[in-house]
Amino acid sequence: MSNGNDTGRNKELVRRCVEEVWNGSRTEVIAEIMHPSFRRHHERNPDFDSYGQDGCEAWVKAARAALPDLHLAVELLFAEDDRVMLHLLGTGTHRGDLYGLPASGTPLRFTVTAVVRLAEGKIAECWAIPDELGIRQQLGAVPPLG
Amino acid sequence: MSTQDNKQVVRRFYDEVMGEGRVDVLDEVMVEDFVDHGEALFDSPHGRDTLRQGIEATHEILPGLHVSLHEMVAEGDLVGVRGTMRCRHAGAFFGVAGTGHELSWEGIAVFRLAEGRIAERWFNSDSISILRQLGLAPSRSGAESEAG
Repeated sequence: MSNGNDTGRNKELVRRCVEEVWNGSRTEVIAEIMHPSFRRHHERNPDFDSYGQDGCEAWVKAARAALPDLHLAVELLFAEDDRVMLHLLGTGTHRGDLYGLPASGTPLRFTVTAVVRLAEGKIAECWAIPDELGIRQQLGAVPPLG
Repeated sequence: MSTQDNKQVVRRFYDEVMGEGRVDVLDEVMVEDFVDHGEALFDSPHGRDTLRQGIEATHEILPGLHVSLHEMVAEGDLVGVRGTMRCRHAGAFFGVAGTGHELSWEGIAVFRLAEGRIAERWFNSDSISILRQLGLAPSRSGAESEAG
């Protein structure tokens, strides 16, 4: 492939990010697998983008504070050139503020679809869209739509 | 079919079927027992005919529908896309009467192809943004309502 990308290695890095950083809370792994110039693109407002390894750690910690038992199951994972795409099934219990909604103890189940860009053997950029409406509906914040 | 062929099929789905509203093309690019894994807002319309009816109805209420694909990623029988959907809010959408305003939102989708046609789809879209543009959810700029 172009640019000497090793898609097998790229997929393995993204899988480690999900399993070790997100599911395992091993934030020390961030320095190894995330690019210093990492950027996570918020799905609608760049004011909420996350930058760098510190930004990544803050993003993970905020999510795990909201859902301490967060588990992301990798349903699809595939790659081409410097990109990896994945579809995740997330589960977790609402034990802290999420989207401004206080802890409710509600067990949540939701999907996430994401694109990741790799550079210099590390995760450099991420676009991820969770089923935020589904989460807010499960928390009773948005009524079901007719 | 090569991954390049599969990408071309997905591109035809967005350009010809979704964009131009040519639902007659759907038979060429999608299997009859298409399986959709949707999300809370757009649900999961199983079957090609159900999707066809949905696209026809969408073109009535959201004319000018266009999806800009920012990137495509393909491996094996999978094709992923990240894009922006734009349309004009002309008719009742989720119960909100047409305003003539442009709507736009981001989405990421994965398609599985079988023998050159779309057989399965997984996707997430920024549905909260759509609801806010329709006035169905409060617009908040505070970080506390955006974190996640």
